[in-house]
Amino acid sequence: MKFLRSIPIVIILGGLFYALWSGILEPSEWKVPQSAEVIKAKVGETQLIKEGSKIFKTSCAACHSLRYKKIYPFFVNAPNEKPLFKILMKEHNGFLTRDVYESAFALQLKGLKAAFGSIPPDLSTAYVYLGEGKLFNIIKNPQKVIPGTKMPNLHLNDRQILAVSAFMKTAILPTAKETSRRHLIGMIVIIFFIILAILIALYRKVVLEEDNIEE
Amino acid sequence: MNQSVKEWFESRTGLGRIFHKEMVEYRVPKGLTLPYSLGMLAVLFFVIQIVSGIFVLMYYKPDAKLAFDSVNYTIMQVVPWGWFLRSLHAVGAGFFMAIIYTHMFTGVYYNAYKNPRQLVWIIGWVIYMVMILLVLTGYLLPQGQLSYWASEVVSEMPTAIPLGIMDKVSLWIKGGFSVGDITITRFFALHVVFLPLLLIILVFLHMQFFHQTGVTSADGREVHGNEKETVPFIYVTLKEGVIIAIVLAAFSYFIFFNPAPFTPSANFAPANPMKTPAHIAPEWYLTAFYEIFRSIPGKFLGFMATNMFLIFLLLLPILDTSKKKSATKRPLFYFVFLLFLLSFAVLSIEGTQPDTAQSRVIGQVFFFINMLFFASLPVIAHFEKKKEAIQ
Repeated sequence: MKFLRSIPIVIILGGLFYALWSGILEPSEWKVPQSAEVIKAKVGETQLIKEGSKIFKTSCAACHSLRYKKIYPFFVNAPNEKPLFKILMKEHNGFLTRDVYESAFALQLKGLKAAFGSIPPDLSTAYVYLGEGKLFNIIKNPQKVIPGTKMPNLHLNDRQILAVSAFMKTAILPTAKETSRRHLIGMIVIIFFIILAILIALYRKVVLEEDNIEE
Repeated sequence: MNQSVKEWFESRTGLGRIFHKEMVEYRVPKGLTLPYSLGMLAVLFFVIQIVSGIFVLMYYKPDAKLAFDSVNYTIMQVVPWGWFLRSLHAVGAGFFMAIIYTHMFTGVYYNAYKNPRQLVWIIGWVIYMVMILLVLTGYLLPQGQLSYWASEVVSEMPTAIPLGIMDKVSLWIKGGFSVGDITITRFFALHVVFLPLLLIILVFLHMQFFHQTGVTSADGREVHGNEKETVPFIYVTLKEGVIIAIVLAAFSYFIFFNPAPFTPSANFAPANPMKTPAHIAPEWYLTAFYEIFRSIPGKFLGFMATNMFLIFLLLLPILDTSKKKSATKRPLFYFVFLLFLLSFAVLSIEGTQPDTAQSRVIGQVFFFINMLFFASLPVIAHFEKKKEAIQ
């Protein structure tokens, strides 16, 4: 009876935490095409990242920075800017914090704003906040996803888009190797706690029997 | 050697005696189940938050332009094991709040607010308020879009009260006309110094008052001081040890495999005061209040409705005048308690969704059900007293 009474409570609280923590409440309206999995399997992640790095540096970096990968827009290599950029890179070990970057290149960023209506954002964390589906569709057809944007359509094919996306992912999320390392550590820690729970339960049983305690 | 050091220390502090009295000899009812472990679990997660917070603090920069990168780049990518510390803190906050809510609902279920535990309940309520302030001030710190706009909404809350001075209160909270550098340093100071210190004192008082009044048995009988029906706390500590190890295993799953539910993806976009997101929502532990606030027409009414839930929680010792304790012996109370829990769950889930006409209706209906719980308590108490008199 006591057990039956707790069932609705467990269902309500369990349902609440499942809904909040399983991600079912945040379905993305943008999807990657089904062919994406085939391309990923065929090409392999390492190769895609390599190709994506090249495309990003030659196309996307015309306007966008990817500061977490130490990539900056083309304007930093203009003859007037290059000496300053070199000094800053040396002083800041390649990673320019937002305040340094935005104040050192304020004029150039203003120029981009004048041309595009807004400063093309830094894309270091874009893979996470846009999600793979939305990011894919923005690169594929920017006007469709962000009506009125001045971002040009680069006419990249699906493989190239997936490559750029895979490369941008490395700016904010751990690599596959690092992810497996974390999973391995996690597995060990979880097994440790489960064994600990079993040992404490067994010890408690022994203590209760020895002390002749009834529960 | 060890023994002499222990004796030297004990004779000068007496701490060992206090520990033994409170954690080993202290007697609790037999057959305590999982919900009774939630207090200990909450203390454990509070310690986890403090320890992980100290390490995260070593690299975090409370500056509007640097905060975002210090979290997402420096801590997550540069500092060795920084990802672990940040996940520990972010996932820990979610677990901490989940435990606090379950602990609070357990208190309502077992009527832990009744005589002689009114002060335990009131201090618990104050702890809950401080926790809300802690999560609100902490939410701004990563300086993501959600952080920024959620803080903007919260700091504008006082203006819902139609008094001229409230605009100044909002201005004072933010330290300017919009959330900025001053707001961050202000919230930072509260989050890392003032509120945790206050919480430590409150937790100590909560535990002391709780130990003073003791625990009722699961069926609501007062067994404090009754040797036959109680066991020394050490046996329960071991039981709690099992539960804690299982919860830590689940906690580890989220830290190492899936921290995403505790670090919302929208908050990975840097704060942009010029761009309002299409959908703003606070963290899940406040979405029930957010849903009430936005579904009740009129800013002032919404504000009052949100606060009604909190005020009625505090007033439970006055509202529920029945002498019976624990829902296990009170079928009517058990039924309205389930409705209360269900309404809270639905409001929390609905609050994460975009604001639509349909969601507002859902919000209003479940707010009404929520209030029904509090309103029904004196009526149920009346019926129970009548029934008792007949018997």
